[in-house]
Amino acid sequence: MFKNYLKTTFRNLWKNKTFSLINIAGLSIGMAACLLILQYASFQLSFDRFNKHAADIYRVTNDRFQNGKLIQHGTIMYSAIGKALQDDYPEVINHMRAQPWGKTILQYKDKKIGDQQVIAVDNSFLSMFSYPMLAGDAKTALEQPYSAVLTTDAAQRLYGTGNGDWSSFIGKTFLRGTDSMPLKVTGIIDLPENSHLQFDCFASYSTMLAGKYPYKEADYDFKHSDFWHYIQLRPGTDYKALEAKLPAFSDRHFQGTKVSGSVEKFYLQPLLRAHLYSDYEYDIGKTASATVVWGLLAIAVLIVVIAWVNYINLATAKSLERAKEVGVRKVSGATRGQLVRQFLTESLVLNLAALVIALILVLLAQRGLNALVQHKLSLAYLFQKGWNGYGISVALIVVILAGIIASGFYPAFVLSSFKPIDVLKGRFTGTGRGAWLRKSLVTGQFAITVVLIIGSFIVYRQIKYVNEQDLGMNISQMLIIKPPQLTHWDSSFISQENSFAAEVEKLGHVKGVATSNRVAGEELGRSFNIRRIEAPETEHYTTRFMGVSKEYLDLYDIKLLAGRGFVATDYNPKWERLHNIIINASAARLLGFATPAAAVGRTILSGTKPWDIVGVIADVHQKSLRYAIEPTLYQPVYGTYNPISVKVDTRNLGTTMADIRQKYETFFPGNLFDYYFIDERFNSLYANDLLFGRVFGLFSGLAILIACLGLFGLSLFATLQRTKEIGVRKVLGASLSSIVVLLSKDFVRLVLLANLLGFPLAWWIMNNWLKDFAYRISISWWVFAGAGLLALLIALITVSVHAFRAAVANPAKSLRTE
Amino acid sequence: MIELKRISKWVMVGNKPNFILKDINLGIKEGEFVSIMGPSGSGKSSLLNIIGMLDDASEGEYFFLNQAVHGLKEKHRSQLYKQYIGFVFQAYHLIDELTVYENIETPLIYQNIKSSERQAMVADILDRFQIVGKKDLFPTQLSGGQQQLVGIARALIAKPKLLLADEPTGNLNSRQGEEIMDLFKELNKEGVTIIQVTHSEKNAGYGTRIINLLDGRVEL
Repeated sequence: MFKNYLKTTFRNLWKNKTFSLINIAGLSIGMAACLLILQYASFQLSFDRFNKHAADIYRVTNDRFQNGKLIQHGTIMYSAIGKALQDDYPEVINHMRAQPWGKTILQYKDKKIGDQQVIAVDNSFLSMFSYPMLAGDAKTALEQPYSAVLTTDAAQRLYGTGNGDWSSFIGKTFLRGTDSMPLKVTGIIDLPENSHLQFDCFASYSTMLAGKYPYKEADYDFKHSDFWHYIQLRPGTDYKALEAKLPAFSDRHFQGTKVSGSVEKFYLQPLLRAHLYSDYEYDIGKTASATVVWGLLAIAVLIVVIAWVNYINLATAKSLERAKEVGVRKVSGATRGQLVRQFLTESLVLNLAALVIALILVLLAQRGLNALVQHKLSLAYLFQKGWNGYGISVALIVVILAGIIASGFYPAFVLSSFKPIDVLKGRFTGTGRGAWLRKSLVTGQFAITVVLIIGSFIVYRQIKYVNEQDLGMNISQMLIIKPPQLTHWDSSFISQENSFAAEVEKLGHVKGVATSNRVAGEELGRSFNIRRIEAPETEHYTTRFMGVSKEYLDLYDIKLLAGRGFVATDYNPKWERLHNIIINASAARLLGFATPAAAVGRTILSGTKPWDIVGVIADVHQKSLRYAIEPTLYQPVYGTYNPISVKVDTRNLGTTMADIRQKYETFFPGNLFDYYFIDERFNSLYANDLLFGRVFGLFSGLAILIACLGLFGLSLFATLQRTKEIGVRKVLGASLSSIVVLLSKDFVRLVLLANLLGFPLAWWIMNNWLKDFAYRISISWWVFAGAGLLALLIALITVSVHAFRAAVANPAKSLRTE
Repeated sequence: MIELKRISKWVMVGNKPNFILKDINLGIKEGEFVSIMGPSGSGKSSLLNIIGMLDDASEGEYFFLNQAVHGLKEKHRSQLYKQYIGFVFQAYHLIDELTVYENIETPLIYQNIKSSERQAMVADILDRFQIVGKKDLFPTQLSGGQQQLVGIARALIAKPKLLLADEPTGNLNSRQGEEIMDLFKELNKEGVTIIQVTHSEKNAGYGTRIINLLDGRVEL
């Protein structure tokens, strides 16, 4: 029986080559697109799930308010929080403190490796999380000061591949960064790619508390906000219940604004939400946007659904041709169930064929996708544990089966419901039935298509907008040289750096040199206790702050609004001697100065230290346009950790770089010379948006293609069905154009309706997406009009191919065959 | 074998019933070769379809082998149909995607007969109709007469007691038509009850009895 089904299936597919091709092409493209997106989504959704206690681990987050306004929404807070929570609440069974030490150089003998992310963590880190430990004892590895756990990658870069035995690295020492702090390797972990914490070196937290000058604030303190906390709850604890007790916790330890100067609110964020659902400032985790992931997943599902809808449409449209066969089979004694099974077999075969082709397409496209998303994705990702602990593969199989059944069942039921006597006697027309469904499906498909077109368009325009937006400074041709962090800070460093700058400026093709403790695109630190000197002590304002050399403002073309820029005499190696400061326009407004000029010459307090305002500059976008500009103070500060900005003429870059390198190595011997162009780095802030835009655009294109395939098949069928009518009309004198109009009219109407359905949906979705940007385009009506027209045009071209062919056909021929 | 009592069939046109068959009383015994004749629209095919259980009467009683067909559920009726009735059409109605062999085999598949048994049965009938050489051809590769031969072979493969034929020679030339009618006569001799709808007096002459229909009534 099944053999017979297969036989008829293959012969049918072969006989209707065009339709089979359209069906299989549509389905396989749809499935391939879906599989590719699923890989990415399952990777993103798998973050931190490798942790055994994942469900019980929480990040503590902190919102900070001043004058009734939220001034910080972050994961950074005071060192005492973790321990205090564990002391106060029995449901907290473990806590871990962390403090990232930034990117630094690690040194082993002569070997130096740069850009290493180091973080100090409590010993509980290794027991709370489940990072696979390849060597060392998880229970004690981070107990002692000056011990460190390295990732396999860092260990290999530092010590070479060794003999393949990870335990051979244990006990080796290396030096960290500026202060050449010696650290001893006590463990090697294999850091999964899907961990939100991505660091190369995990140093013991106790290191900070040891030595001649222990960092006392790092231990148990409620005033210095430089620490991150993870806590582990007793299994089964309702974290919301604990969270509800945190206002009392805050009152107890912070007493309003008395302790820290701000109103502190604490929340708990489940570890499993850390990667996708974080919008925190000073996040030390690797984050991505859940909206994007779910958006892509939705696109993935929509694409396959569109392909299945095609299948349903074409299959029911073809039902007229299959009707006779159904009649004969019924007369031959076939029951309805047997016929349903036969048609289901057909859809199964078609879907399987499409799946095989889809898998081939995935393998072919994998490299391109990986380059696009910059991850090593593969089909294997579908088989790891996804959300809810089930493999995505299970979901996938369910979805595919459901799709096959859903897309197979409807045509099967329609076909098997025919009354044999009607179809065999030719009394059967079948156009009324299913036509409604077919029309709604086509409308739905095109509504989705219109949404995708509008979406791609808006994403594209927003990204273009943020890229073209004037940052308030000029970052083009700006080279950033990594800071000479291995040079020790002393009173001569400023003049040393100035001499270096003077030497470099002498080089041809160099237009200027400046240093700053952060460069454009990097997050600045915050001061929470700023006020005008004459203001009452209870007043607190928060600003960002940045240390810059005197050349910085000019080098970046930042506009001076009032007063002056920094001069050499503003600088001093001794912090206590510094007192001149420049603020931006936002800061002047925040502090209540009526105009920028009114601020010049006035004095403000940062904590207890007075600063005299010597200049006010225009606001610049320090971060991407997702974020609003904040009040910022510019201090006259140098440092060995400050990157060096060099504005160059990009001609002869090779020679210029060699010259700069030579100077760098003369002035800062022993440091690693490394550089990058800041505009590239700044633009990479939009990498995720760009990726989203590209993927969105790409898959929208695919969705449109598939929808067109379906429309192509459907219009072919509709035209075939009306061959006789067209013949008669032509004999009666209808013009070519009137026939094309006649045949295209119905489809045009559907596409117009689809536009009406798609517009509000697209508006709602894109409006939500744009809300993430502090600076954004407004959605203008012509985007909708354009997308609607585009969809209409695509549909018209698709449909009119057949209409035109039918219209020019010789009527004598079509009428004779009747 | 067949007992029709006050069978009527109508369709509603507007609010008025439009009778296709009216008050048909008819008995057909096993072994008969009945020809139903009448002008176009007289209800011949409708009557045949009702007898063949492809259609329901609007009113009246139908007994087939003493079973009340009008009271049977769909499932039983199709069981009865499968077991006892074969259908032959004017337009042959072969499945274009299947070969001659497979077309003939189809009814057996739906009766869940084993593959080996099916092979034997199909081989027998191919042999008998002398179309063994054509078994791997597709319907479109055959002449009309040959197609109808396949159609009859398919109708007979499950060894029905009753063969219903709706103008079986309507699309054939006269020589092909004669061959088919000769075959019918032969089958009838072997004990198959045959009811055919025909326009042709000559074809009706092959049968043992003629029923004339006019405007949905049996003409006496």
